[in-house]
Amino acid sequence: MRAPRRAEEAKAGGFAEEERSRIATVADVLIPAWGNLPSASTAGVVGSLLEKALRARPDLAESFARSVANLPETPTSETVQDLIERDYESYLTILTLLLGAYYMSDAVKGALGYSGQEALRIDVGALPAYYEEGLLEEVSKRGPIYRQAPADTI
Amino acid sequence: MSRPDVLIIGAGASGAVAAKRLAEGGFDVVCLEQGQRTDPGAYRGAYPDWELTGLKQWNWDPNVRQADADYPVEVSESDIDPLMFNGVGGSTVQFAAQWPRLAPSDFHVRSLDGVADDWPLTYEELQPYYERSDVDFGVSGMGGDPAYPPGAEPPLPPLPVPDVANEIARAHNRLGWHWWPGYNAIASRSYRGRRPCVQRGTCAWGCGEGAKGSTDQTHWPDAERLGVKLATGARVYEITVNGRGLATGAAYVDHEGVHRHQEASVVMLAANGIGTPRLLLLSSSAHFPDGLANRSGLVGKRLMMHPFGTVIGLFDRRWASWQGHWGQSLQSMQFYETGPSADFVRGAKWGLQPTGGPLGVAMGFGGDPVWGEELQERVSKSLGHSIMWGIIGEDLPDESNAVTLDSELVDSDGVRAPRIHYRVSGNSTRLLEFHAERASESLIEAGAYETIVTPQVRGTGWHLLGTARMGDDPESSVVDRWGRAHDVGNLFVIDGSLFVTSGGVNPTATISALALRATEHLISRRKGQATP
Repeated sequence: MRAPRRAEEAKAGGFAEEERSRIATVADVLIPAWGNLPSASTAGVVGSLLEKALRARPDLAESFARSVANLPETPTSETVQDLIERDYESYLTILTLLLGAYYMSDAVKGALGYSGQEALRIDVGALPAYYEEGLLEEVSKRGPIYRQAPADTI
Repeated sequence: MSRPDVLIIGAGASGAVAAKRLAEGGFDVVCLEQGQRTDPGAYRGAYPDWELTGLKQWNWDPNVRQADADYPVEVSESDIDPLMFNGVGGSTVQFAAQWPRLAPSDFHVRSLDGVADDWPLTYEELQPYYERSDVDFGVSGMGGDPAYPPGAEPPLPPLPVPDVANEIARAHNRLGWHWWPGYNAIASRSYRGRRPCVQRGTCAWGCGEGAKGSTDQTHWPDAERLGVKLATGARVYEITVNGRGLATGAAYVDHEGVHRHQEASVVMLAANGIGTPRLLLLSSSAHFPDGLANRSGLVGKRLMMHPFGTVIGLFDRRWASWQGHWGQSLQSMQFYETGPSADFVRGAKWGLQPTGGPLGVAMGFGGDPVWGEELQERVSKSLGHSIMWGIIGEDLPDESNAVTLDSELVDSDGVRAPRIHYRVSGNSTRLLEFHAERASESLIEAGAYETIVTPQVRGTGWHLLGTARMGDDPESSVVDRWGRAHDVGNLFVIDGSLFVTSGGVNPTATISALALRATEHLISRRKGQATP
């Protein structure tokens, strides 16, 4: 039988509620709301997105958990500055996973206008503008730009 | 396996070219490759986690990736991190597939500019092999480029370019500067069973479409069909020799950790500019106490890795800056030759590239990652609004830039790891600064409101060159003009180690052409070939 949804969420990423709160706080310091971009917690980073990021990067799971555990209960900008100076690897681990999770959010991608890496079909009938406008001919008219070797070296 | 005619060590660009051509010539060939085959379905380019996995599982740096097939490289005394992929296809699995050739002057650097050394061959000698390699790899591009002598058209038309590239082309015409549609070993049309490029922009993390000319797609299927035996998970640690100083084969550890020996009449080293000197140095013996084929003392020396810089242009206009081929849409050779008033010699090629997805932008390609509002501002300004000139500067050879064997570090089989000593020269630094300024002018002229310059990027040692240079004089070169070791008559080096100078372009077109040339020479001289 499936567990109730709230209990499932509480276990997201294997983190206890207190840790999730700490992650959400540091995530919002690192990735605040800006313009039409949501903050990390509003984008739902601390949940299934973080799980996805951790599945993609299992090598970071242990160091992420340790780094988060070493943060104060309510991380601030000063906390991040201190982490950068004191333990840059932990800072990079936290930032990488949270950003990786953030940019997998549909809401964030929508706000950025980022559609992801799509497969596009090349239009074989389309001629590039540089060709249609004769831009290449101008390059050709300027003549060769390569240097030949001195004759006695060949 | 019984004794084949030829043993090739390494299944990357040069190994694949040689294997296929030898098999076509009726040779019995075995190839030992320390890595595995990669299923194109394993690449992550089509998935949302492609950038996250690109920082680890598909990282270009073996010290970061740490896959089973990788060996560690000691880099604490190197300004640039060497990059490679170990597996069938070698580094072509993750290369950008930019396919420019060396220019004619690159073969005569000493004669023209008074530095480094001339090659023992000319552009004209190599041109037919370039043209045949273009066909084998399925190169897209356009002939008539005034940066090169006339020759055959590439087999496929150029790949599409974003509209901003047309703006840059117009800008260069206003400036009177060279530009040309980029040469790429990426299929712009269906080609020999390969599908055309889908412009996903993730070429350097593996091409799931099979459009990119990695040799697991372009050469190995034919080579194996013709009978080449390709053994994967086979890590060579010694080239063995007999009392006459001829190579007898190679000792290797198989994928189950069993030590084996593969005999051969001829051995070809195709293990890249770090792996090849590592193996030669590991193969010291009573006959060759300083390493195999090292009478000149130059094995491992003159390492060149092409210091690389970038200039990103930010534009008000919006387009899908993360799509396209990576790859180059345009290239410029405007400042490729030594300038009359420059405070450096030689030059660089520029390649116009997309700028990647949001995580890459946030983490700062070659720069520092940022956070907070600065992060949000950076990504909003760049994603969908930017394009990049990648600048590859000529890297002059210096004997103090070298691959040696580390005294402590070993790989997972206990084999001594390579140690890199490499310092970026003052010439390279001045060259890249000059080019970054010119590339900024290019982008501003095209309408960029701002440029972001990273003159040198540490993690960009894609091109591993020069560590077993060719030449006519055995005292000042490791191999002859055909890649045959001066000291060991049945040992050939066919990878980027051969390079006398680096040029200022991506080297795989030249590596492939040289490998084809060396292989055909071996075939033509098969009757006189010394064997153990």
